[in-house]
Parts: sequence; structure tokens; C-alpha cells
Amino acid sequence: MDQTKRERSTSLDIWDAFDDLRGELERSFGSFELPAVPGLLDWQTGPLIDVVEGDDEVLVLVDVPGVKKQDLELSVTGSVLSIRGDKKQGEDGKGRKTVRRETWAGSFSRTLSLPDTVNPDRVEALLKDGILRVRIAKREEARKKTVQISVK
Amino acid sequence: MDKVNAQNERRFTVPSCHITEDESEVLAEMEMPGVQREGLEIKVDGSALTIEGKRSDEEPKGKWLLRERSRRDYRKIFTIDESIDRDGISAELVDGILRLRLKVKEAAKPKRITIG
Repeated sequence: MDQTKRERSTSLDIWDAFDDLRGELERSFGSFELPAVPGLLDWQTGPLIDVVEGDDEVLVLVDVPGVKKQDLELSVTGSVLSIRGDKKQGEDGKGRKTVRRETWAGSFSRTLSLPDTVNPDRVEALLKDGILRVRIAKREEARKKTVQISVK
Repeated sequence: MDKVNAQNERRFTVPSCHITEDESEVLAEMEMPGVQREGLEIKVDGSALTIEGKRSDEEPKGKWLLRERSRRDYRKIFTIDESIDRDGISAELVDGILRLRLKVKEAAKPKRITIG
């Protein structure tokens, strides 16, 4: 291990402190990678989701590899988005010997509570390359506006 | 220093696999959402079969309210034995799933013996 002391950062940013800590731990215990083979505790049973709030819209990204459009059902009630779907086992898996299985299959349902600034009437969903993108526009009055004020 | 090195080092996500086989082929299905054909690289070097997939989607801008998905590129290295025909590997990418078919060499297939 590195015996020399590292210089203290002069910045007071808390994230820098976390980065430093992570660096120390990685040097001591190896990296924070997920194990190559899923075990009991990290067995996945539903899709992974990202939610990003932009200036004009809220973007929801869902990893749904292999799921067809007709097997997905989306609904928005107020600011609550629900995603239901059915992830099928690959057709080729039938009648063959399974050597290893890390993927999950079956029906899933996720309900997300979005910021209450979203407009449930303006939702767009697109499925591409195994990723479902749902864009929900924010209400006009909730968008960030820059108002020019003239100084008299 | 250490920090810079850690950032330059490329990190990968290992795609989830479903591997099935029968007498004539091995089928590996890998979940790689966000990867397009152009971003995919498959190579065989001796007994190592390497699959790398670059994500084509760019990072959205804004405030993250939930972050579960990985943004790393994918990499999986399989070790294949002599029974796999190196020239009989085919791949297709549909809806974020890569299907890799590995043909088993004729000599390695089980032979049926008829009783005369």
C-alpha cells in the first residue's frame, strides 16, 4: 500500500471527501464492482430506473431489454407514474439445457412519485434499444423563467 | 495522482447472461440495454471470447431524483474450449439483447451408434 500521506484537499466540498474515502477503500479492498455473477442479495427482479428532472421536463429511463412495446403499460395519475410490463424468457431457451441464468423474467410493476410540477396531459414514451424513455413535461408555471427587469 | 488514475481507468458493467445449449450449439443471451450495432465489438483471441458494448445514449442533464441504472459500457469475457468452432460464431442484437450463437465442432458432437 501507498505509505506516503496524501495532501489534504483545500476544498471543503463534501463530495471531494467522499471521493477521497472511496479512493482509500478501493486501494485497501479492491474496487466497488458488482460481482460478476449475481448472488442471493443482488438478484434483480425488476427493471432499473433513472429519473432526471430537467428545466422543462422530467425524464424517466427504464432498462427493459427484450421487452416488446405491447407488453408495456404506462399510466399517469396526477404526478404518479406507473409502469407495468411483462419480461418474457427468450424463446430460444425452451427445450434446451440451461447452463447459466442471471437474467430475470416475469411481470413487473413500478410506481414512481414524480415532482408535482409535472403535467400529466403531456407525456411521451419511446422504446428503443431496450430502454424505455418517458418524458413528462412540466407545467408552464413551474418552468424556470428568466424575467428581464429594467432598472429605472 | 491516484485520483486521476482512478478516473482514467475504464470501468465496465458485466451484462446479465442466460446461457443455454443443445448438442449443436451454445446460445448466450446478454442484456445490454442502450447498445446499438455500431457500438458492439466481439472478438475471439485463443480461448477468450470478448464482448464489448458501448452505450449510445448520452447522459441526461438535470437533477437526478432516482439513479439505479449503470452508465458504464458493457464487457464480458467468456472462456471457450476447443469444442467451439471459431468460425461458426454468429450474433444478433434485438431490443437491447445480444444473442450469440456458438456452433459446436462436428467432431465434438455426440455420435449416435446404431446397433446392427
